[in-house]
Amino acid sequence: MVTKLEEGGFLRFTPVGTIDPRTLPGQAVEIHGKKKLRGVIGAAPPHLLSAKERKETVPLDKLFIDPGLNEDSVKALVSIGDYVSLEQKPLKLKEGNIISGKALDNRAGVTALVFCAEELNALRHQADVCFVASLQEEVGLRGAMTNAYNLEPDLAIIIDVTHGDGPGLDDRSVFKIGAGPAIAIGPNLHPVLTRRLEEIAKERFLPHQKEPIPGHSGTDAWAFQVSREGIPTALLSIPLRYMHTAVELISLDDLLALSKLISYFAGSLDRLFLEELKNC
Amino acid sequence: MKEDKISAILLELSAVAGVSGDESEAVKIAARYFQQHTEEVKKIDSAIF
Repeated sequence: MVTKLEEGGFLRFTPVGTIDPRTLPGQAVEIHGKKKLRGVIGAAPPHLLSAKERKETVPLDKLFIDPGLNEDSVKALVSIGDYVSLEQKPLKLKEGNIISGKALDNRAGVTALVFCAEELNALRHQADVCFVASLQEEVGLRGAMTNAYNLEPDLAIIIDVTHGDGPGLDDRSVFKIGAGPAIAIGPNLHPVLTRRLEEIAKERFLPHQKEPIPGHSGTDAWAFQVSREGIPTALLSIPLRYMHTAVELISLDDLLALSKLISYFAGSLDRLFLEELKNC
Repeated sequence: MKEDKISAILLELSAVAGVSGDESEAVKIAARYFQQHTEEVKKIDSAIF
């Protein structure tokens, strides 16, 4: 979000939600002013920094956006509070099986739901299934709160992303890309619902991983679980590398397996299981 | 083929701007895809977002 119009037509900004500031210098952006403008995120060149400054990450307050316009044009088109988004176009890697781009957290989840809806059309299912693409998860699960209250579902399965593997990362904290979605386990999640998802994954030979989360999951599951008198909630996550950067990376195999898992689960739902959820 | 279809949806969704408070472009794309498979598509939280 734009916080200040600087002399010379430069813009200062602040993040909305969380973004990795180490990745921002050199990025192309889109400024959502009176009309859409392009810009680049600039910083002082290394030649003009002290030896100490060169070794450090450039702090957010030292970064600026350069729309390449003069000050008067910027003042006419951009206001404090205007939003700015990264302009990175998505990339297909590994013959299209791996996708990298911005906002895969959590547009990958929305894509999984679309495919799940398509799969369910080919399956017989008794339950009514609502697909929700909620907003503002990154700034406090706010879309999830209103949706959970409005829909009042018998149960909820949240789709999010989790940290994918990569060099230098502790393998206890990350999940292998391409080895299936992570099924979360912990106090934020309903044990019977979670167990059922695991059983279905095994029965259907769907690749999956287990993700222990001892507290706040940092996902919409946190809001759904305590909506109204409580909603049995599960969490499935797509392993994703480089979270909150413009080059987030996922495997389509994981996305597909997650969609299928939810489809088979929804197809298997009956009144007996819902009673079991209520009574445990 | 499924992978092609999924990647097409994901690429389209990821390409548009996303800013908190205005996801309208992505919402329109998602609604178009959901429309093909679901009985009803509605926006239930327009009062506050």
